[in-house]
Amino acid sequence: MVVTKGASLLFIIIGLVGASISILLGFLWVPSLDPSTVNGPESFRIIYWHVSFAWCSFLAFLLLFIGSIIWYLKKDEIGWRFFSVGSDMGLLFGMGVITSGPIWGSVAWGKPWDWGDLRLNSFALLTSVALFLVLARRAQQDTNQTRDTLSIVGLFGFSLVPITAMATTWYQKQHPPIIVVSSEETGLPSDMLFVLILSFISFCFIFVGFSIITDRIHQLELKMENNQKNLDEGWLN
Amino acid sequence: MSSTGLMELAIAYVIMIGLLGGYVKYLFSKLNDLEYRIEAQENKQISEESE
Repeated sequence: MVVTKGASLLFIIIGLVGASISILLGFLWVPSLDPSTVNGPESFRIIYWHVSFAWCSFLAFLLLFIGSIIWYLKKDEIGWRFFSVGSDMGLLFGMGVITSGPIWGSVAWGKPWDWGDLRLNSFALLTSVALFLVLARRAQQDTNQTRDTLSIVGLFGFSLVPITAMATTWYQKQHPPIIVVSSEETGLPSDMLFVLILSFISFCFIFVGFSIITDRIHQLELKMENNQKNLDEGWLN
Repeated sequence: MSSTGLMELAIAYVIMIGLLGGYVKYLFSKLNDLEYRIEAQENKQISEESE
């Protein structure tokens, strides 16, 4: 138990230090944008955390998808553990994207949200699915039927990931296209790309640390519930 | 809205740092609470078995 706590804390600390360094490099090392080409040239520095939050949310939904499949097909406890951690992480990292994106949009586009943009709306739906799964898991009794139903919703949620990821390629309106793929219209200068990758690697450490400890909490909650059942049965007998 | 977007940048980072910091606080306080409660349950179980 102490090892789990220590390991997850180490992952989180390494991740937070790396993420902080990426903010500093974003300010001190990467040059500013030309004010004549973009609105609010300083606000682009949100990218280093906004994109890392978004990529980690996709990792979370991948975890959710794997968990949903394993649970639905095999009824294996490990599937439900993946599902539970994936939904919690999906909500956390999705919230980071949903809050920072509109702040950036209000500067860059002059409005925080565009209801006609596929990327924005599919991502909002994805985060709503994660919110629903987290709330439903806490509100419903933990039975196999509940798990079956929620894992189906989890599969639906993951089906939104490729739509969200490819949205700007298929139907670009406001949100910028995929930035790490270099082409005539897209791509990042090498210094920005370096800071972005550093930030994402740091966020992966945070993601792993959070996932380990979130899973530990779910296991302890289950243990506490079983202990309580044993105590209650002891009193009844 | 500031013309350079610096204010918005600061607000966005404060919110994202708050999310991560808040979740770290939640995780460790929840973990400590659960460990404390499980220990209390197990002590109770042991004392009941010995009676």
